[in-house]
Amino acid sequence: MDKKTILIIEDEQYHRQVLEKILVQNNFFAVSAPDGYEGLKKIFELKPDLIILDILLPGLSGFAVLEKLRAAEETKKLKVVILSNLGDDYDVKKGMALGIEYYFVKANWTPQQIVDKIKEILK
Amino acid sequence: MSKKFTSSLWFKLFFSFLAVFAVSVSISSYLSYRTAKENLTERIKSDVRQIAEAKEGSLLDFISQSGKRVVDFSSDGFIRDSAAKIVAGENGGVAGDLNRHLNKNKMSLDPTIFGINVTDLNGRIIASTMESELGRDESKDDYFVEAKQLAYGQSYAGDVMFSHHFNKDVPHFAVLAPLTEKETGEKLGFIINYIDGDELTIILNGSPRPLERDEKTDTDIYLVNKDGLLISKVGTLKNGVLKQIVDSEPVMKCKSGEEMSDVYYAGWRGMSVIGASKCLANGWTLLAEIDNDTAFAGLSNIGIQVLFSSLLLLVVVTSFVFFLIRGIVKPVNLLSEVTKRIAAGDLSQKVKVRTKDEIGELADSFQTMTQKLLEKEMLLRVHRYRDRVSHELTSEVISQLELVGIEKTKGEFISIASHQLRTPLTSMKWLSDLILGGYAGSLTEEQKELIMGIRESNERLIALVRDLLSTSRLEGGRLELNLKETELLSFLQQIIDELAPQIQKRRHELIFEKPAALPRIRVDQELTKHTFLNLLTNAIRYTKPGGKIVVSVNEDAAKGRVTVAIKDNGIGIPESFQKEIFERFARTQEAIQMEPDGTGLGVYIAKKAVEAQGGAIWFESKTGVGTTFYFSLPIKL
Repeated sequence: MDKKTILIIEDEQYHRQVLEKILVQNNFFAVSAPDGYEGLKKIFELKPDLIILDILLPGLSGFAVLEKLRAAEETKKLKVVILSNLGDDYDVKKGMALGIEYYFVKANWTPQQIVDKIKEILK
Repeated sequence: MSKKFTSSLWFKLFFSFLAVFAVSVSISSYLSYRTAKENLTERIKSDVRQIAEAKEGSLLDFISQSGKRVVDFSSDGFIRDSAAKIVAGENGGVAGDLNRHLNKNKMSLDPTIFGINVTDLNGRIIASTMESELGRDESKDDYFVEAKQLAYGQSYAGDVMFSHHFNKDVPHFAVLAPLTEKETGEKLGFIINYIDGDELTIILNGSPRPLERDEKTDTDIYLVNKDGLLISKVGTLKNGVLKQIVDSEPVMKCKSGEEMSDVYYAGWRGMSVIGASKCLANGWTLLAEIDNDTAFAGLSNIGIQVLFSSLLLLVVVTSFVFFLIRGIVKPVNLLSEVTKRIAAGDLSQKVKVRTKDEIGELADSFQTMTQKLLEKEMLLRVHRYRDRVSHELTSEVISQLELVGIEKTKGEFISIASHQLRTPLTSMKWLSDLILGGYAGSLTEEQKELIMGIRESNERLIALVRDLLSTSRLEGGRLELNLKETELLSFLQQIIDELAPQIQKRRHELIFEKPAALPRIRVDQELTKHTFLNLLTNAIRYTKPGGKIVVSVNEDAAKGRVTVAIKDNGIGIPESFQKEIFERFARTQEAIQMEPDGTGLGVYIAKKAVEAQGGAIWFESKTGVGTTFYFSLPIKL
């Protein structure tokens, strides 16, 4: 079975670290990018199976990244989940409108729960 | 315009001008007329005087010439000798010869003479240029009488009278001289030359027939004898000589020996004249007259001309002045009009005076002033508006704006705070989860416990942050409700399912009493969740394990509300505390003991959340028995 590639676009170091560790432990191939710009580069490079996208990022925001990848032919069908501490209805709606699989509010989820959900999405 | 016309600028200017013009023109016309008249009068005066002088001279010359002539005849030898012979009684052809001599040689010398008679001393005609004259008696005639004293070489001119001689009965005058014997000088008789009266007229007027009156002779020059009879021809009078009495003043005066110097007098023809008179030695009066009408005819012509041209001038100048004044008054009026309108409040009026004179300047500065006024007014309005606006803003809107601003700030703060707080909290949570999950190696029991402690504290902190932020949001004046049509029962079920782990953990029994049917109601899902979740969480927490929780939903169509009840058989709320239960951080000691993780904000948030939707929250509780919390939501929001 192919290992699925998951790209993490997250500026918080500990969050990245934890996610990477847990994804790897769950038999995923984890790649990280610390900001939107790098993230986009990696998206176009790798075309990962799933993108874990934070919203509040330095430089290019998560939504901007999302818009950009939805606008390009080769990336517009990639799966994205938002993992953010912003939980406003507005943000959720915005994300949904841009075609995300799920919206996680970080504080409400344990890393394991997140990974379990991801596994579900990628089935 | 109610203003009197007589006080208007128009009136003042125009009629002042007119008055001045009229007065000055009248005065100058009058003066020039008078001067002209005076000049004319003087001229006429001097003219008539000159004429009189001249004519007198001519007349006297003539008479003198006539005298000389007759004297010359009286010196004629043949005449003297012949006369002597005739007087001595000699007849024969002497008389005839003399007659012929007189005709041929004497009378022919002077066309003014129309007959010559020679008389003896008694006045009997002894020789004549006309046969029929012989033998007539002249002794009674005035001139004969007068001439008796004459000596040889002297002559006498008689008055003008009708001649009864020479078959002519015309006005004439006779000039005679005594005839004397050549040697002895003895008076023989007289030689008389008869001169045609017309000659006088000719001398005075240049022709025997002065022009008829209607052909306008300027000056009448004529003679009047000592009896006051006209003796020369005058103008219209055809047969006036020796018939017309001239009794005008100068004649009268000459009669009394005084020459009249005055030139204005009433003529004998009933009109006033300007004339000069000369009293001649022989009692005649020479008159040179020009009647006033004729004299001043030219003047009246001039007078009319002056009047006419004055009137014309008046008309022309009046028209000119009219336009000039209009050019002044019109802009003034315009300015006045505009000023009135501006005073009435219409600052947009424009001053349309375009002259380049002082009035135009006035209009310009006026325009500038109006502009400034307009600007000032605009500014004033703007300021007033701003003041009003800011006043309103101060009183109402500002406070609202501030609220909104504050809200906005608070909202932003909440967003930032929530993110900033949650990030490290999440990190801590995840890191501890990771360790506890065994991803960093296996743990000893002690290690596990300690890390769980960390995690628990972290959880509390996360919960607190969440609740604080919720409270913050709920406390804001304007909360935007996000209403969605919701199937309430399944919605509540979802929340129940979320809390399933906790329920199971505490081995509670949860019963969900659903009504048969429930209409979908529009609710704010987030707020409703806050309310239900918190109340249910409390029920789970503050009931001893193995408790029973009943959730029921009821529709009260009459009141348009749906009520949810959460009944537990927990510890209950002490009566003393019941009034505080809805306040922030309200927790009893028992509650704290039971659930150290609680924030004390659950019920507060539930209340705020439900009330934000226009619902209500209340409870029934008894310590040791249990608590039932109710919340209702309006069906139609």
